[in-house]
Amino acid sequence: MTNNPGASLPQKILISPALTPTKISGRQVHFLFSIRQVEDILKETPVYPVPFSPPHVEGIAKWRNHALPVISLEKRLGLDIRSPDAEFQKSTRLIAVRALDPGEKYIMLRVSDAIRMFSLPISYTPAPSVGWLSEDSLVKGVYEWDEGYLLVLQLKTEEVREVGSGK
Amino acid sequence: MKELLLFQVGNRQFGLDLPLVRSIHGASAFFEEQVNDGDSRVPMVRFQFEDMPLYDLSAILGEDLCRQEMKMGSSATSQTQPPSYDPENKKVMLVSVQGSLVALKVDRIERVVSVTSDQIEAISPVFKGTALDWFPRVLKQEKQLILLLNPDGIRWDAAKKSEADALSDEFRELENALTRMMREEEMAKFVLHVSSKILEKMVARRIGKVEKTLRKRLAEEEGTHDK
Repeated sequence: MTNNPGASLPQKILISPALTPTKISGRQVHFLFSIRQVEDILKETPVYPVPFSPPHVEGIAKWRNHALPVISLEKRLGLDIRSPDAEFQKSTRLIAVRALDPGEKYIMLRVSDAIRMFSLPISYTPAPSVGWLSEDSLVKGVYEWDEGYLLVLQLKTEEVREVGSGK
Repeated sequence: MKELLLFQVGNRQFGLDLPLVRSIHGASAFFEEQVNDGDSRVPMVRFQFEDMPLYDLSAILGEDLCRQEMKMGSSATSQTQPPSYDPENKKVMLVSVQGSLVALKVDRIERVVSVTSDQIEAISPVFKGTALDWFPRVLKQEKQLILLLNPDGIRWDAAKKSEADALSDEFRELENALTRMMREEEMAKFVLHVSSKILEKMVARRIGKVEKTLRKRLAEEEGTHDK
């Protein structure tokens, strides 16, 4: 038997409602992240746009003396996004997430300020159809839970970059 | 230590390796001597008997940054109103790119800064294409991030675009010629026929490759069993 002191601790996850006004069959779409994936949650962090970048890349932001790309998951997945107004940045957060690339690589994601932490297990079932997702190359799994849909993502730099590599 | 020249475009600061900058001039001198080059997509200017392309960064980057900031609501760079620059005070930097000169028009020249190599970071590969060609590196300052312009990337990107434009021009010409020669229906049949032939060849080639791999694997497996 291996001695793993962390094995008995309940695994925690973060769930954030997508910044999309569109509801799928009247249900809200959410993103799920494991707590190990997320290094930091930042409020009102300056983002510097990079000219000629794709629509789903907002720009770069400084985090722990690194310049990280800031991604809009909704745009990357082809979902509508609520129109950004003066309050948009105040009602959102940036999260620094570990990418599934070799070496320690991070990206920033813009998420809702209504991001919440849960302890596993939570009750969910695989979603029967994901036809509403026009871009699914980044999606590892789609589930239904009490509050709507849950999207579990595989965040690899190459996948984040390439729009149109899905269906 | 590395020296960078900081300059302003709209309300945004950018940087450039100082050793690449040959000289800086008032922009008005360049407009007077604009050269008309029918073939070039970028306006050419003449300075001291030398012709060179002029990239108006205020126009090129200003427009794109505006669009980017619109998509995000507000950003680090739009907290204040963009300053209005007197067109008379705009500057043109002559920059050396692989032995030739390129003119870059900007709103204002800021200052020269000395930085250490650990203050400069390669931009994430999440960016691609023109964004990565133009701005492959970023300067990390205490209060802000400054994109570093790569003049070589500008030239390369322009060459790619001009090649793509030329290719689409060629296709357009071919299409016009075919339209003159054939009726629409005949042309559709012809295109369909050619496409199906190409597709057939591609599929056959793929099948051939798969067959070869399978045969190799079978031979290997047989060899293992024999042993």
